[in-house]
This record gives sequence, structure tokens and C-alpha cells, in this order.
Amino acid sequence: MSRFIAQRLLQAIPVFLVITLITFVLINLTPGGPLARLELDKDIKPADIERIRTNMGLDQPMWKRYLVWLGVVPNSRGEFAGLLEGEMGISYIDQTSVAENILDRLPNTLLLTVSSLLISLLIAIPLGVISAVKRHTLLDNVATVLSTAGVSIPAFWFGLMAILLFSVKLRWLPSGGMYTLGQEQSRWDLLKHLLMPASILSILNVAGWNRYVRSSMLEVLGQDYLRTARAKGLGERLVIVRHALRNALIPVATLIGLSLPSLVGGALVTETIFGWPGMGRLAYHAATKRDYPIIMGVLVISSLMVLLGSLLSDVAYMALDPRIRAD
Amino acid sequence: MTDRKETDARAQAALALNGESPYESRSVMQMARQRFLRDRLAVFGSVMLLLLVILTLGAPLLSEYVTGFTPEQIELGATLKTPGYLNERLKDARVHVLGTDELGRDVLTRIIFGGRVSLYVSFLTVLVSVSFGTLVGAVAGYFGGAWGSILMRLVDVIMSIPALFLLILIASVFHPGVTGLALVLATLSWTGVSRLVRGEFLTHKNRDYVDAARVIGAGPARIIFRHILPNATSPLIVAATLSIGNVILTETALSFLGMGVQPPTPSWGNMLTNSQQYLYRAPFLIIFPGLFILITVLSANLMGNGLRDALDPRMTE
Repeated sequence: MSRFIAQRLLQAIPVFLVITLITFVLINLTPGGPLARLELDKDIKPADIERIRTNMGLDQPMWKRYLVWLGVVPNSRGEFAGLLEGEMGISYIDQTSVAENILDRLPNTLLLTVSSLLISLLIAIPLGVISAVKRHTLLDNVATVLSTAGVSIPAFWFGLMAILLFSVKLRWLPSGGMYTLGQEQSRWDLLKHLLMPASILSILNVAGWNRYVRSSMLEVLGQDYLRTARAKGLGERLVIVRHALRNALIPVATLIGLSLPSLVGGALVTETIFGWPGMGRLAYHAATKRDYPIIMGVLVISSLMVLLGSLLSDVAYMALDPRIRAD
Repeated sequence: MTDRKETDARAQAALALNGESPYESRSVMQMARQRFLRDRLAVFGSVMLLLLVILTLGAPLLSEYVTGFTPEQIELGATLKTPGYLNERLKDARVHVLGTDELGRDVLTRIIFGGRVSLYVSFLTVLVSVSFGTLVGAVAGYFGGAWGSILMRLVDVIMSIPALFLLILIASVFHPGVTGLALVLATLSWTGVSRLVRGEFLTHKNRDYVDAARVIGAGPARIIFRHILPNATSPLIVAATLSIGNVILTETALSFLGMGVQPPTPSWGNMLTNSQQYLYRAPFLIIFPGLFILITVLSANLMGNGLRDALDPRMTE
């Protein structure tokens, strides 16, 4: 098992490097850069601009700048100050540290995505199991239709409709942000703000997962070992919970694993609509303002999460299903 | 019952006498078509999708004769009017069936034109990504070996890239037009198809008919395109249809964020961008474009589900 993990980690490194390379190249292809604004100012002498350019290391060829940014080559001041040292640069807009910005927002995003993940699991698994056990009943058919509709809804529209209903018409829930301005930040307040975005995200997830759980459960229900269990005299509920469910949940573990990577970036649209101060919204605002250091930082972190998530999901899959370990 | 026996006897006689079977034989495709047509939801979805395509293709005609407005026609004296508004002060006034937006443009006309853009982008994207993905998957699957592994590694790398972020980055750097946007979206979505096709090719590669084709001297290109590929098209068609919906959702989300289709070209997504601030005053501006997205994607998904159920020979439900 540990060999497998080591192997995957080794494989993940070149992938990560490629992603950072693509991002770096893309960003540097843009016209203008951190010095564009200075160049437009007539009061600044060109000699000064050149000096700033050399200081920032921007006169080096692109491959060298990439390596400096990565942290393997020292910058113009002779320091190693790149990614590998945990240094992600400063924002073009307000000169705050990129790493600080990201660390501020990351917990918020995780709060939102993890709670929606939990809600999704709590709804999708029972719903899928019951749909499978009571096949073709009204519940099953209604759930199937709703699932198909659910994967067809545009997330941002769904969020806006929810705000329209619950904040504007019914005035039950706040329409955005994480806490109410001017009030003390209580847990209850946070919960009220969290409820809508987390529910929106989870409903969309459940729609996709429900059918998956159902078909996986259906597959398991046809197995012979369940017949044995019933012949032994076990009650139906025990048969389902103790034998069928355990095996049906293995593909579900893969599903959860597949959604681990999107824990960081998957809520971008929802965060933007609900004004939730998370990584997604950070990236979006940075993109509109062309704040490239922040965009790069977010991309790096989210790629890391994607790779970690894939690794974790594979490990979990191997841990749950002993048949795979033989490989 | 006697009918059956009679027919059987006659059939056997016919078979014995001239080697003909009077039983109608149905091909796999025909059986699949019958199964599809029996699925009411699938038929409904396909019809809906067809209607929407026709509607959006005829956008210029509709705007001239039916609604009477163009999507860019600004009427600053009649902004944010609710559906059914008729500006009586004009002499040629037409009814704004779905109201007007913040610049007085007719919402229905913009929706029709916006649908044109969204459907164009999604069809083009699916076409390009499926073609390219099939090519890569076929080569990787058929030849295997070192090249196959390299190609699949590439696929893995691309799949590891957080797509939405990268799309936003690319869109903000390059400001692609409508066709450019489709190509960018295709670049990020061909990987799923290639995995699927590769799997199919791996399965078929060792079948007897491939050996037979090789024996009579068929080269790899001929085997791939003329023999294996036709057998792999069913899952391909299903995947392609189901991805139409996904692409529409991605494109509208991007346009909503301002990173996709740029105004004034209407797209269902960017119609919602500016309408957010009018959530209180004019909610219909948000309800209708989104509703059309929902209906379109739902139709594509229903059609895709129906195709999958009809073409899958192992469905026992």
C-alpha cells in the first residue's frame, strides 16, 4: 500500500509541474504586466522603470522566470523565494500577500463545500437505497425524474431563484455574505447564512449521485450472497443494511473521492452569487481585475487539492475493496 | 395459438424449400429505435430539442415577423417593463411578450438570439471534442504500448487541471469570440471521450473480426475506421448527447461570470449577469433566460438517457 502511495506521489509531481508551467506561460502571454501602469505614467523616467524591471527580475527570459517563480533558481536579489519556499508573491491590486489571501479564504470554502458534501451524502445514500429497494414505485419514479431535472438546472440560476424565493419573497433567510454586518458573529448567524448556499450545492450533487447509488445498489441486490443471507433467515432490513449496503457503498466511495478535488474550486459560482468569501470568489474577482499572482496562487492550490483528492480516493477505494489490493 | 402453429409450419416449409425465412428480421438499430420511441420522456426531450434548434435557427426571421424587435434595439423610455407591455406612445408598437430589460431591449427576442449562440457553441464544442477525443482514443486503444500510455498520461494531466479556473484564466487573457470559446471548451472536454473510445477499442481489438480483417490484409487505418469504430459508435453517441447539456451549462456559467460570450451579443448566461441587480424590481429578467437553459439542457439529457436505454443491450429494467 505504501509503495502504491509513493508511486502515485511520484507520478503526481510531473503533473503538478506541467500545470504550473501551463499557468505561468498563459499568464505571461498577456499584454501588459505589473509594469504596464508605470509605463503609462509620464512622470516616471524610463531609466527608473528599467531599474524596477531588473529588480523584479522581469528582464530575464521566460524559462528563467518560471524557475525563479518555482523557487529552484535564486531571484535577482539572490534569494530563493518561490513556490517551493511557500512564497506566492503579492497581489497586483493591493499588494497583500497572495498566501495570506488564500489562507484567509480557504477555510470558508472548505466550510461550505464540506457541509454540502455531508448533506448530499445524508440525502443521496438513503434516497438511492430506498429507490433501489422499492424499484418502480412512485417514490422511485419521482426521484428519478427529479434527479434528471436536477442535473439540468444551471447552478447560478438555481441560486438566484432560491434567493428570490427565500430572501426576497419570504424573507426567511439572508441573501448573502457569511455573517450579518454590524452584528456579533454568532454560530447561529453563520448557520443561517450557510444554509442556502450549502443546500443549493448539495441538491445539485444529490441529483447526480442518487442515480449512481441506485444503480450500484441494484447491482448488489441481484447477487447470490443476499439469497444466502435470506435463506439463513435474516430479516430483510438486516440483509439490506448489513450485507447489501456495505458492498453497494464501494462505488459511492469512488464518487466521494471524485468530488474531493472540487472541494476547493467547485463552489465558485455559488460563492459569487451568495457573496461567500471563499477561494472561488477570490479567483473570480482576481480574474476580472487581472490580478495574476492571485490567480496563479489559486490555480496552484486547487491543482494540489485535485491531485491529493485523486490519490485519497484511490487509496480509500483500495482500502474498502480487498479485491483490488491484489494488484 | 393455432395461428402460430400454422405460421410455423409454413415457415419451416418455406425454409426447407427455398432457403428463405418469412419472418421479418429486425436489425439491432431498428430494435433500438423502437425501444427509443416507446420511451415517452425521451421522445418528448428530442422533440423539444428539435423545436429549440429550429426556433433559434430561425432567429432573424422570428425577430422580424413574430416579435418585431431586434436583440440590440434599445428603448430607453421603456426599461424594465413586465411581460406583456405595449408601449402605446409609439405608432408601430408591438407587445413585449416577455418584457424589457434594463436598456429597454425585448427579452423574448434576446432569448431567441441568445439560444442561437448557446446552441451553436455547445454543438460546435461537442463536435470538435468528440472528433478529437475519438481520434486520440482510437490511436491509444488500437496501438497501445508506449504511445498509448503517453497519450493516456496526457489525458490524465488535462483532467487534473481544475477546468473552471483555467477557463476563467484563458477567457480573461484571450477574450475569445464565440467560435474561440467553443474551441477552448472543446480543448478541456475531449478527454472523457478519448477514455471511453480507448476502452471500447481495447475490448474490440482482440475480437475475431479484427483478426480476420488483418488476415485479408487490411491496414491499421482501415481496421480502425471501417471495422472497429462503427461498433463503438453507440456509447459515443450517448456520451456526445449527454455532453451537450453539460457544455451548455458550462458556457452559460462562464458567460454569467462575464468570461464567456461578451455583451452585446446575447447569451442566456450574460443576460443574467446584469439582471442580478434587478432581483427585487424585475425578477422576470432572471426567471426566463434561466428557464430556457433548464428546458434545453433537460431536453438534451432526456434524449441522451433515452438513447442510452435504447442502445444498451444489457438493460433488464
